[in-house]
Amino acid sequence: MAKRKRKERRQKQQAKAIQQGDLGALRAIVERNPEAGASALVTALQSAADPNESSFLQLAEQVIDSLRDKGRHDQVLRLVALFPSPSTPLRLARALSALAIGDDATASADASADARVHAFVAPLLAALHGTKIPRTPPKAPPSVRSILALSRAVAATTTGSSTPARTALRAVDAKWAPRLGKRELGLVLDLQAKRLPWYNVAPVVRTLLKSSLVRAHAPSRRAIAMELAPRFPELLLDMLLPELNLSPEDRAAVSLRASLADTALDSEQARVSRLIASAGAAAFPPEHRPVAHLFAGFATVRAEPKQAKACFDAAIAAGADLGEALRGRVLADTVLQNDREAAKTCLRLAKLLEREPDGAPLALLAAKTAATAAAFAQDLHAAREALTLARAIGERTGLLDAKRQAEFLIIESKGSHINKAGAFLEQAMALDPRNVEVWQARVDLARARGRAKEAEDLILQAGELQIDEGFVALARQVRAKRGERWEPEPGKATAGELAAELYHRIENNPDLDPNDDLLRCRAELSPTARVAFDMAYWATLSSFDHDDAAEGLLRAAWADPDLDDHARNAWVLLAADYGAPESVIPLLVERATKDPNDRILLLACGLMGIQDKSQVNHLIAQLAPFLSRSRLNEIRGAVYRSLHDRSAEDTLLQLLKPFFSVLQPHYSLKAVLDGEVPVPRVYGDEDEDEDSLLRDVLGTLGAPSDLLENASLEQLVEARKIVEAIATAQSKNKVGRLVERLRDVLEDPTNHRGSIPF
Amino acid sequence: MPLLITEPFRRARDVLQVAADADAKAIRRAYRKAVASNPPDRDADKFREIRSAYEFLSDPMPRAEQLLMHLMPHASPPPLPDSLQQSEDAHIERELLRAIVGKISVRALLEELETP
Repeated sequence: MAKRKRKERRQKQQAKAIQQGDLGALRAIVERNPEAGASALVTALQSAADPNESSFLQLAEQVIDSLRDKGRHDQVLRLVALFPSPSTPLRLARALSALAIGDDATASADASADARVHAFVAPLLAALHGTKIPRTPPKAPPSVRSILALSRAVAATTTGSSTPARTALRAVDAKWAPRLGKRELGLVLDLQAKRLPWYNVAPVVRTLLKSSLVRAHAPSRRAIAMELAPRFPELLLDMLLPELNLSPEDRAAVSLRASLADTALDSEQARVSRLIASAGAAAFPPEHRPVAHLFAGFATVRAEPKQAKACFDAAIAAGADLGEALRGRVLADTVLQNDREAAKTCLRLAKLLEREPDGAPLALLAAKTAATAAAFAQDLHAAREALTLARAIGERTGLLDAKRQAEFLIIESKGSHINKAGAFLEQAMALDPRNVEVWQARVDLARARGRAKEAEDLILQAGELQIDEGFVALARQVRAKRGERWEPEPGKATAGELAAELYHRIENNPDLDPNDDLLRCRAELSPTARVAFDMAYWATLSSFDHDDAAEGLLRAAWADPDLDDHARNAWVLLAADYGAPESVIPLLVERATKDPNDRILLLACGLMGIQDKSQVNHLIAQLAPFLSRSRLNEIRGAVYRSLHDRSAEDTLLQLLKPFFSVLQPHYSLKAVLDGEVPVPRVYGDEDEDEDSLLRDVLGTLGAPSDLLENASLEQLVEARKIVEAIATAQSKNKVGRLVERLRDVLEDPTNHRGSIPF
Repeated sequence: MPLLITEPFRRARDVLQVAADADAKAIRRAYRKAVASNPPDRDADKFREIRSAYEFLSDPMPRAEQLLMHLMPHASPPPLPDSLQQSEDAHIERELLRAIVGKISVRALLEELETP
């Protein structure tokens, strides 16, 4: 009790001393606790006869930096306001604190009142307001020069000029760099780079968040989230948002911004549509309402087709463009799987378009779509009516070629009785024997009739024609199941087939017998196919880590005197991008000695730089005796830019294109180089089940076990692609969307519609 | 008024100056004529416009399919009312600058200014 009384007595004495402006007592409090000192000073100043007394000023200057460091800017402003004529340090402190909390008017007033404050504050204000940054005065101290440089960097960043921003940042004095957030601003520039790859986003943000400057400043963290929201919405929402530690209001604003930037509809028009959809057409004045209904309808057509349909009906009632409104209605009915309704509306659209001077191609397509929908609905009468219109438009305008006629016959077959469908498909075959859709319809029909062997035979025939990758893959499965073995025949085997077979032969043994039948077949290939085969050979050796053999092959390929310039350049870039540097460097040096100005050499160095910058330094050291200093600098520049500049990779892909296509569909050079998938055998493996992953996914999702047996080729191919995408999806949302797509693809209108549980 | 979806066709016809019912021969003839009066070395942009109009009209079906299945209206969006304007730009650098000035030591700044 006595102790408490003593404490209370002391507090009372202290309050009295402060009230009376006792400088000794104030000084003691300031030294003990600057924050409490500031409050005491405010109390003392309120009753002081002369607030501008030098002792008060000194005490205020003593606490001001401490308050600012703790982020108590409001207290700084309150304290300085009590001095009728603040000193320069106090004015500067108030101006800087005012800037920190967004009170730019106060900062501007202090800058105008004191030239020394102006020197620091004017450039900062200019940077924040996008006005011209003042010139650097002669003999300016490092602090002023650094503030000017920082302001220039910020102004350039705001206008999106990253190079001037980085140049300006370099002028920040080393002593001032940590205090002026030079590193943090550099990271912001990285984050705002247009070509920032998604995988670099999280590391940059996390490094920024390690900075106490950013960690303690909520508006900066909010701005980071707002910057990322439209560009990397999923990454932000799924991963980074919790780390940014935002207030609930800021989180809501950021989430809204991210959800408006749907990656699938990533355009300004889409963003506006979603805004209109969320506000409703009623938010618009009557003259804009018809088009607002259209935008609202299209924005919701995939997710909420019923609501979209109502929007399109409202658009028609409000006098919007009828073509657009009907088109929207067709899309909505298609999503709703309301085929009969879709067919009816689409036929109406076709008739409307037919009357337009420029509408014939669109009318023909609309009529075809109407026929397809009617065939799905088993409404043969409506399908025939639509097809009659489509054929009439096609004949009148010359748009009815063999392919289109075949397509119409397929539709007719789908709408007909199973026993009559075959006749339509035979007619379609006669018109367009290489039409993938006709083959697919024939396979589907055979399956629907329960003729499994006939379906397989058709798949084999379609695979032989090499008109479609999906058929080639299915044919491989059929052959594997039947236990057939592929034998290379010189003059007949393609580069892709040879490469695929080679892949399996050298998996364990890199040394091929010189008399190997594959090499005999290679000799019969065209020059381009031969280069493609060699590249595949090299890629395969590299993928199995047979590095010595790969290096030997590379040397042999480059030494080939028959190699044309295109192939030679492709080899150089391919090896620079994917090869072991120690085997590529001597070859690049050899190339540099022949032509110091070789453009391909520059690109190759860029590609090597992406993989390993230290190896490029090694290369540059070896090139030094042959090349001029400016040329070496050019190479260094190319390496420096390589992470942002994709021109070398683009050139490589362009050069490799003919070789890629020669190897397709049996061997994907790109996939092997990137280590993505094993190459299937030409005729498949007996135990190969291409759909094991798909079956696993469907099993997990609880789908019927016979779902795949009843799926068409088109459905299978699409479902495989989706499952591959699921395996590499980066977020839960994405997986959810893919699973939804998988269900849409596999749901068969005649079989499983509505029965898939996921 | 013509339907909005047919606009791209009309624009392409205007570029080549052909009638709506022009056949392949007439389109080809109009293309040659347009290229002769606008060679690529004189006005590359105009040539590109002519070329793309020709490609569109000589094989209209792929583009027609895109137009028909497009998931957006073929119309300009209406001007957004003020309540829907989202003009907030994320200027991290400006916010960061405010954070920086909040931390600079006044004493350190002035020390250098006063040092001769």
